Amino acid sequence: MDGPEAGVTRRRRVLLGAAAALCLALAVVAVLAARDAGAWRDAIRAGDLADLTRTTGKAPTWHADETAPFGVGRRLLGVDDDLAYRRAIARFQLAHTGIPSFDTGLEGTDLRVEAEAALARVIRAEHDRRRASAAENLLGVLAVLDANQADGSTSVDRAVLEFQAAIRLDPANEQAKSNLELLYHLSAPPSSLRGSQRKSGNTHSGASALPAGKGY
Amino acid sequence: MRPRRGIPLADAVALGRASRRTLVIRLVLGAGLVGALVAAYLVAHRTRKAEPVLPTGTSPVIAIDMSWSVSYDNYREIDRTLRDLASSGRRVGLVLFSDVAYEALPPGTPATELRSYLRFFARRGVVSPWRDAFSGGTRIWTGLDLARRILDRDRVANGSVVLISDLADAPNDRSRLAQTLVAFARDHIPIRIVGLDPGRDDEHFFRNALAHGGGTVTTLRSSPGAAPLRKTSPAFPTALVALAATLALLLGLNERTLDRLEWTGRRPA
Repeated sequence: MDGPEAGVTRRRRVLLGAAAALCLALAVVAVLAARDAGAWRDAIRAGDLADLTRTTGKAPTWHADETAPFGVGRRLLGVDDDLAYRRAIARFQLAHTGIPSFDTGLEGTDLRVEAEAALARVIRAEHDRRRASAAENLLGVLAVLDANQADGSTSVDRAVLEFQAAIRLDPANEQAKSNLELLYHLSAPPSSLRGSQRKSGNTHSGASALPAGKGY
Repeated sequence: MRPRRGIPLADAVALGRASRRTLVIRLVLGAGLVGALVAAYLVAHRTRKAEPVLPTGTSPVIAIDMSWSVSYDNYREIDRTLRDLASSGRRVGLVLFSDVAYEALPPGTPATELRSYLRFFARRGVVSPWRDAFSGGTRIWTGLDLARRILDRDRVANGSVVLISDLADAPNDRSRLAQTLVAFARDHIPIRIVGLDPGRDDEHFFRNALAHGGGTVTTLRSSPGAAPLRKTSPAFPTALVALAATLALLLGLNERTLDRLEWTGRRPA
């Protein structure tokens, strides 16, 4: 074969070879990403199950061994926020056992700091307003625990702000509303109306004390 | 079956040996190429880049724990870390803290200015100007909180904080620390902690608190046989480079030995 024709043929061969190599590489990445998608599905299921049946003081990790480069499978699935939310909730459950001696002890306090940091990261990154609101509410609960332990007024103020933020994010969040009302009631100074009611033992003086409505 | 197209050659049998040799070389080179490619992928997948002390792409504020335990026991580690940071060519801010925090250098100061603080960590027990003022216990939240407020005050959009401490924080300050970490998460400010021979529990606590996106913890051990200090520059990926060179060599060999035979007629003069 002669000069120019040979050159064109050679270039064509090189281009075809390069395109074939690219397609092969993409196919390999797609296969690995598909494998990772299955691994993440299994990991989330296993983690959720382990969380439900948890008896020890250790949260599941919801971890999958990824094979595709740069976490392509995880990114395509968009599970990062789901994982962060699950991990933060698990940390909250570890930190808030309802056993005062543990919750206010050294270990409980450390767990609470970890949970608060994790919940704050969820709130920042979460696009689902309902889940962000739920995280704000839990952060408020932990701030109340902080207030019981040390630095009362600052933490109560912080808890109020967290509950208010939770309600702003999701006006249908009844738990945040109840928590805010309860906190206002409990933190009211004794000289105020709420405070005097609390002092006299009439603690159900909010909306919950009213008779049920009868409709139209 | 279609017959192979080609020019009939009278002495094709004589080329059989060369043809078989070429086939063997082609198979060996092909296997070598695929093997090198797979090995390079696995090495790249498993190699974790050593992270520099100063986060890249951010304006860092360095917060140094000046409590008695740190300045007495870990002065060598601080000295080495500061030298490393000073030669990084970056611009930084500096906060010194113990029970209270003090802004030593505002953000944006050339890192070479850190050298003027090296004399206070040259040897054990050097008297520093702040020794009587605030060198007592460790209240990490004070250092972190001041660093965050400085970044906020100076409207630094891509700020980060590097905490250098033994992490022996006062347990009764945990609620303030929680509040500070929540503020860092809300403001999206990453924290990089350089732990100076920290206790296992303290290290574990900070690792958990910063897990999954809050920051990183690197520990420096002063005990004999401990891992040496990490430089601020990333580790060189020797294995990966060696594999890439092997791959290039095999490709070159392929081109050199197995290139298609081409010839042209003699051009007229």
